[in-house]
Amino acid sequence: MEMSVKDPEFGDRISVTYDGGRMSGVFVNDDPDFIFIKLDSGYNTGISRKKVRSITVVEKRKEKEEIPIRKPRKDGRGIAILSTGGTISSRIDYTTGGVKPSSTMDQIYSEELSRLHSIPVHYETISAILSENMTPERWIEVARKVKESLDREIGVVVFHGTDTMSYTASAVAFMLEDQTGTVVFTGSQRSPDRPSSDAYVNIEASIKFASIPSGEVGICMHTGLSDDSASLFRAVRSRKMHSSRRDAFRSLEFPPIGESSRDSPAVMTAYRAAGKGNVLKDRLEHRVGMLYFNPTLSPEDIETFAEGKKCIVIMGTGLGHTADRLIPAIKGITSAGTKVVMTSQCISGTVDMNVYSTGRELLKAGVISAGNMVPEVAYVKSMFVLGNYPDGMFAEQFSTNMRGELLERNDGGNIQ
Amino acid sequence: MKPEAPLKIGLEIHMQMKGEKLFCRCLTDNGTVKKFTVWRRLRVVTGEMGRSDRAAIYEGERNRSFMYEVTDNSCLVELDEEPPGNLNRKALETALLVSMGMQAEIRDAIQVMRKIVLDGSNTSGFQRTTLVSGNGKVESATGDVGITSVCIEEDSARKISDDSGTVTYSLDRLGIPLLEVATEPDIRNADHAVEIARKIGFLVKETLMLRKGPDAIRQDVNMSMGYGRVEIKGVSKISQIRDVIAYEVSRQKGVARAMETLDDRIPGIYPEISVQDITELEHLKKSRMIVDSIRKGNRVVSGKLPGLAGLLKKGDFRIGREIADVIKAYGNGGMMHSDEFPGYGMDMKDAGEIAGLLGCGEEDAFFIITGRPGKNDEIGRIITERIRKLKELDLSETRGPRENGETYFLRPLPGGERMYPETDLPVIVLDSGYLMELRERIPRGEGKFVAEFSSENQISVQDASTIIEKEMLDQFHNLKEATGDSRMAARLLLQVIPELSRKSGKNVNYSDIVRLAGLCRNQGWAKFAIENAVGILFSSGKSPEEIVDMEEAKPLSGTELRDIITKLASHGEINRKNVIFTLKKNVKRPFDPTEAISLTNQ
Repeated sequence: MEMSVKDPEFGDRISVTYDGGRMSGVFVNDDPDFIFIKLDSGYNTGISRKKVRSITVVEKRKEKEEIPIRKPRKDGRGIAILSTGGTISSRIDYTTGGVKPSSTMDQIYSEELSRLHSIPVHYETISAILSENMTPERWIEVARKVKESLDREIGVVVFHGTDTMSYTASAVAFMLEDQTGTVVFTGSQRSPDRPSSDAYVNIEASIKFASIPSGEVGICMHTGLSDDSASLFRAVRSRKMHSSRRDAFRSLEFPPIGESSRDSPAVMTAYRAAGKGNVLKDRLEHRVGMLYFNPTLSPEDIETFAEGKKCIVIMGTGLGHTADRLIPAIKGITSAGTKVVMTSQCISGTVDMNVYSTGRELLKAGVISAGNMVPEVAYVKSMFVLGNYPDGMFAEQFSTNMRGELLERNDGGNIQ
Repeated sequence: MKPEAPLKIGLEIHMQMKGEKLFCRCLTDNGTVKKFTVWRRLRVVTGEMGRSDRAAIYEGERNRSFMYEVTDNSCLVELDEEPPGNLNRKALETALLVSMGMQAEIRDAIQVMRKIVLDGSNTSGFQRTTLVSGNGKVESATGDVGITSVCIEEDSARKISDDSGTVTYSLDRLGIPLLEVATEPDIRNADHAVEIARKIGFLVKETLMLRKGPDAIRQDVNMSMGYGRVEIKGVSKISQIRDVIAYEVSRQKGVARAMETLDDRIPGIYPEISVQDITELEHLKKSRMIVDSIRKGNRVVSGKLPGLAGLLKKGDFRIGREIADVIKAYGNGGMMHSDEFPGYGMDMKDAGEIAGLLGCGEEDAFFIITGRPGKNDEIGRIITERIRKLKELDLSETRGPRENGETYFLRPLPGGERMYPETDLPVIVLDSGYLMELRERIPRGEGKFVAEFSSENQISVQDASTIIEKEMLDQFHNLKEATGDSRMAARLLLQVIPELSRKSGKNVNYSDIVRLAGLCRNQGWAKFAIENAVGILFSSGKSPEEIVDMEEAKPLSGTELRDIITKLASHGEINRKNVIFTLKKNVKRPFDPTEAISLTNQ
C-alpha cells in the first residue's frame, strides 16, 4: 500500500481509495489489517489494508471544543475525593476502543459534584490504575492520603476499581487505628462514558455518607438493580459477589451500615463512633499469600507456595479443611515459623476445626482459624498484624476483633 | 425566501428478525411474563469527538426517569447488568444475504457501535448498531434507488406508559435483531416509496428470517422539499407512507406561505417573546380547562406573538400547532391562542382584553399556556427559537406519525456524532470463503423468486404468489420436507387445511400437521391417506402419534380394496359411477379413489 501523504492522525478527515471504491470520513485508528474510519453517518468501518490504494488527509483534525467546567466550591471543610483509578475514573479510549483510567476525571464529575452545593468537595487524583494492579504499597499510599485528608476534612471518598476494592478498603480500615470521619470507597460497574453509568448514583450517595462523621471505613455501591438507592457496607465484611451487576457488593452475613435513597438524606445505623484523632499504623507485611485448596493440590505445591512467606492463608473446604495428605507439609511450614491461617471457600459461615478429625489434626499442625472472617479480609489482616505486632502475638492479635471483621454472633442475616 | 425544491424521499426500513436476540440468547418471542421492575436514570455523555449530541442534550434536559418491566425473555444483558454476548450470527447472515440481494458492498471489518439514545428506550442509554454494507441499489421502473446502508441493530424497549416524569418500558422487545435498510433520497413520490419498501421487505421475507408481529416492520420516512430534512419515525404500515408524505408536503407548503406573510409584517430576526403570568386574570375563569388546570397547581402564562395574527389557525395556516407541538414535547401543558377565539368558553371580548393586556396590535397574536410554575423563561425561549427556525424555513426535525397520517414534532434531528464504538465487543472480520458460500443463497426479489419458486416446486405461479403473499413460506418448506412432495405441500397449505379449518371452525397447530404428515410418510402412506389423516386431526383432537395408530387412518392396500369391491359386487351392482360412494358408505378406512375405479373396471 502506498500512502500519498504521511500517516493520518486520530481525528483527521481522510479520503481512502481502494479496489472497488472510495470512502471518506474521520480517521480513527488502524491495525496491521485494517484502516478504521468514522463515516459521516457516525458508523465506524474498517477497510482491509490489502485493498487500499491511497489515503489522503483532506483536513487536519479540528481542535476539540472545550467542555465548560463548573468548578465545585472549594472553600471550607468538606469531603475529599481521592481517585485511585478503576472504571469509575475511566474514560473510553477511542483510539484503542478500550476503557482506561484517566487522570482528568474531575472534568467528568465536576458538573455532577457542583450540583451537590451543600458541601465543598475537594478532588485529588492519586493514581490512575485498574484495581487488579493495586499492591500493598499502594494501599499504604492510599491510607496515608486518607489520614491527611481526614485531618483537614469531614470525610473522605475514595474512587477505586471494584475488583480489589474490598482488599484496599479493608487494608485502610485496619491501618486506621482511630479516625475522625467516615471513609467511603466507591466504584462503578458501568464506566462513566455510558449514559447508564452507576457511577453518579454511587458518588452522590458516597458524599452523603462521608458527610456523616463516624469511625467506619465502608464501601458504597448500588443496593439493587435500580438507580434509586445505594448501600454502605462495612469494608471488613464486604466482598464483590458478581462480576458485572451494579449491586455486586455485599457485606457477608452482616447488614449494611448505611442506606441512601433518592431524594432523602443518607442514614447510617449501628456504626462505630468517630474518634478524637486520626491514628495510622502504616506498616504491612507483604510476604503473605493466599491459596485455594483443590483436590489435586500436592504437599510440594503448598511447600513451594509457602517458600519465603511469613504467612499463608488457605481457603479450605467447608469448616476449614484440606486433604489429610497435606497435613505433614503444613506442619513443616508452621514449624519453620510461617503462619498458616485457615478460611473457608464457602465464603459465608465460620471456620470450625474442632468438628472433624481433619480439622483437629490441622489445629495440631499449628493452623490458626480465621473464624467467620471473610477470606480476603483474613489475608489483609494477616499483613496488618505481622506488620505492626511482634511475631509472638500473631495468633492472639489475629483472633481479636479489631474493626468489626469478626461477627460476635451470626444471626444468619443476609445469606446470599 | 427559500424556494420550494423537488420532493426527495428516502426510507429507513426496520425489520425484526426472529429467533434469538442480537446480543444474548433470549428468544425474540415469549416475553409475556413480567418478573419485576427496575428504576433507572440516564445522563448526557460526550461523544467520541468530545461534543455532546444535540438530540441527546434535548432528552437530558427533560430530566426523566425510567421504569423497566423485566420479562421472561430478557436477561442481564437487556438490564444493562452484563456485557453483550457475541453478535447473533444468524442475524448477521440475514443482513449479508439481503445486502447481496441489493448488490451492496459488504464492509471488510464490522464494528458494533453505540448510538446514544437518551429517551430510555435502551437501558444502556445507547442502541447497539452495526454497519454491514453500503452502496447497493434496488431497481425500479420509476427509477433505481440507491441503498446507503444495511445495518443490524438492537430493537428498543417497548414503551408502555409515559407520565409525570417517569416513562415505563417493557424489556420484551429490547434486543430483538433489527435489520435496517436505508435508501438514498432517490425516491420521487409516495407510490415509488411504497414500491421500494415492498421490494426491500420481500428480500427479507425470502430469507425466512422475518419475525411476525404487529411491529415487525417499521419505516422511517426522510423527506425534503427545500426546507430541510424531516425524518418521520416509526411509520408502521406501508400504506401509511403515502399519507404521511402527502401530509408533510401540504404542511410544509402551508408553513412556507405563512412565513411569507410573516416576513412582510416583520422583516429580519423575529423578536424575543416575553412571557407573563396571567393566572389571576378573571376572564380565564370562564374556561373549564384552565380552571381545572389551576386547581391542579398549574400556572397560566401568556405572551404576545408579533405579526402572527391569522397565521396560527386560519384557512391552511397552522403555525399554532407548530408551536404547540414543541411546547408539549418539552413537558408543558396545552397551548391555546388568539386564532382559536371564540373558544374554550371565552369570547372575542375576552380575547380583546387579553390582547390589550399584552399590548397586541392588529397583526399580533397571543398564546396561553398552562403548566408547572417557574417555567416562564423556558417557554419564552422555546417559542422564540421555534418561530425563528420556522421563519428561516428550516423545517428540519424528527417527527412522528399519527394514525390518521398526520405528523407531529418529536425532537430535533440527531447530529452525526451520536455514535462511538461498542468497546465490549471485538471487530468482526468476515471470512471470504463464508461469503462465497452465502452467494449461493442470495435472495432474488419478488418477480424472480415467484417464477423460480413455482417452477422449482412444480406449482402454479398463482399458488407460489399466494404462499409468499400470505407469508407461508415457512410452513410450506416444513410441509414439503415432511411429505417429500412440494405439490402436496401446496395443496395442504392452500386448500385442504383452510377448508378443514373453515368447516370445523377450528385452528390446528401447524407443527402438529407437519409432524403428522411426517409420521404418515414414514408409514409409506400415499397422498390420499395423508389428507385423510389431517382431516382426522381436525375432527378428533387426537395427537398425530395417536392418529397414525387409528384403524380409520390406515389406508386400504390394493389387495384389501379388491377384496372389498369383489365382496360388494356379490351383493349388488357396482359400477364406476357408484363405487366411491358405495365404498365410503361401507368402509371407514381411506382408499385410493383412482385405484378403486380402475379395479371396478376389471
